[in-house]
Amino acid sequence: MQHFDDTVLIELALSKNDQRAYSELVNRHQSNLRYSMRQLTDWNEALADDLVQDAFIQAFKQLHRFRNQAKFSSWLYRIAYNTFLQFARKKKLDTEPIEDQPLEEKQSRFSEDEQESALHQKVAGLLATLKPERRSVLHLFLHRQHTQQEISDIMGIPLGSVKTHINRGRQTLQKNLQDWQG
Amino acid sequence: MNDDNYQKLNSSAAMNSTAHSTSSKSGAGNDLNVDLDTLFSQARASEPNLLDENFTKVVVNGLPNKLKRNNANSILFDMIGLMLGVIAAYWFFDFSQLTGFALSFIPESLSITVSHVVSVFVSTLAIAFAGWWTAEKALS
Repeated sequence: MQHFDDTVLIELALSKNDQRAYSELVNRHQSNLRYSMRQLTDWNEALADDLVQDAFIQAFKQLHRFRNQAKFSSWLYRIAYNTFLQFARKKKLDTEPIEDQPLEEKQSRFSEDEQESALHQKVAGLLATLKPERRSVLHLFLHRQHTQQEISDIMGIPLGSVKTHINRGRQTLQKNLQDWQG
Repeated sequence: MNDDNYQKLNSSAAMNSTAHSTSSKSGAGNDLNVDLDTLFSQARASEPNLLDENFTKVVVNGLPNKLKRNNANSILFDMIGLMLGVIAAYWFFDFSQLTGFALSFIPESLSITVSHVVSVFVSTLAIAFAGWWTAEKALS
């Protein structure tokens, strides 16, 4: 299974209801998606993993809708992002901007055990100061290095909105980063 | 994170060669933007490969047994089959005879008596009760 590309695995999962093929897809994409979701959830590992698991199950149910024009990883990200957005709306946790939250409070939550781990948590903490949609745009732009058009396609939002999110999001992040550094 | 750690991060980020390419992509021209870009490029360079452990297993256990096929295709096949069936039936059956046979079942006059109304009411009640009872039984 490991030498098949995503398209073949998807066809196998669809035509033969082959769960091994799908589990290979999960195995292949889980790390990237879990990392992205951790970035969106302010590094809440348990929540991020739950959301990604839901997303993979949703993706399996909707696999017949997948069109090969898009990359499977992008399609998967969109499902995961929508799952996150639904969660955020239901819980009304992250839909409010939290710029007012003192950054020292957030700093104290970072683990100092490992520098790398702290770095990722720090980036996630910084992104958490943005609203969910803007957060996702900035993650895709600054971390995943997608183009603005790709972000528009992945998230299903107009290109103009992506540009606005990037411009304003960068300003906010920059300001918060400065505050953070004192 | 304390200031010392943050200083370390910034100094190591400054040494990261990928930082320059990122800042040029986003069009950052000042020092502040470079700071943001170096932070992200550092995170990107050190993105962990998260171990699968039981993650895939949990996902596979949650998958439904049967996967839905493409609806558009199956509807298309059904429609083609239906069309072929109608064409075949057109050649094999005399439709005027069939309609005449069906029409012969319709009575020329209809009279509704009290007993008809009562029997319809009782039948409806019986069907409704049977439906309710079945649903209750299924739930319990």
